[in-house]
Amino acid sequence: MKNIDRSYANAVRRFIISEVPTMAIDEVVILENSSVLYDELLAHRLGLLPLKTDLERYRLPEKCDCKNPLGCSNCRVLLVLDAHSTDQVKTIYSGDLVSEDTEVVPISPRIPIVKLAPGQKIKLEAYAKLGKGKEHAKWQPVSVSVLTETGKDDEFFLKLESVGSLPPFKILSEATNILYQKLAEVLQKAEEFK
Amino acid sequence: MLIPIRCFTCGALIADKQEEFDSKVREGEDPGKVLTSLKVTRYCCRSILLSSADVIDQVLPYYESLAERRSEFSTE
Repeated sequence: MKNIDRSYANAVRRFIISEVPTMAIDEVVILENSSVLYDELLAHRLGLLPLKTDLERYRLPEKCDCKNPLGCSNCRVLLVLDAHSTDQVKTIYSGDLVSEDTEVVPISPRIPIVKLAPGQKIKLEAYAKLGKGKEHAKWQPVSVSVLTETGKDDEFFLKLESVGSLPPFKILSEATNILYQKLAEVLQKAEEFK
Repeated sequence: MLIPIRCFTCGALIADKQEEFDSKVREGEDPGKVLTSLKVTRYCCRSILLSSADVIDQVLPYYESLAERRSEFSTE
């Protein structure tokens, strides 16, 4: 980044981490779980699965006009997992999750969720929502967002590594958009006090 | 019990790489080189793949023999 103030560059870096929304499983209704993992542990693992995100299609639950605590088709996605093992130990992968929206699926189908012994069963409904990194790290779109010096004035190197739910360019453009919106909000409030 | 889905430190996805890592290391390849080829470059993620032990594999045999015993019991 050239010809940019350090404070602005750092704001962009921080917005990438904490303000860019991504999709993640937030609520899980467990109908049946006879696996060796506790319900809580299972829900936590599901929450950490990175999901492909479409920011144009979905809205943040607090910004959605449905005002429904359960959400509507514009702010949440239902994923269902129904798996059991019959004769041998079976690994259940993220690919076994069936999503309501074929675009919102885990970024890799080979993430192990749980292993089931013969006779064990898992049946659950998971609700994915958009969320921000400042609320929970599972909604962070990046694993790395670092600003390094180049030695020259007003020039910085921004390194970002996407988790996979959003492409890196989209993350950067979204972060600058949100920053711009927030600054406009501040300006508008300041006008009111004139 | 199972491999963590994401790296504790940086949050990158690591769980989907474990099977390939394990099978290659079992074939005798150098773990460090396998990790690099899987593009796990930071030492936070590398340490988790290197050191995680799937305790679930030690627990499941008990449930397997339980299921076996049950099926025997139902046929008796």
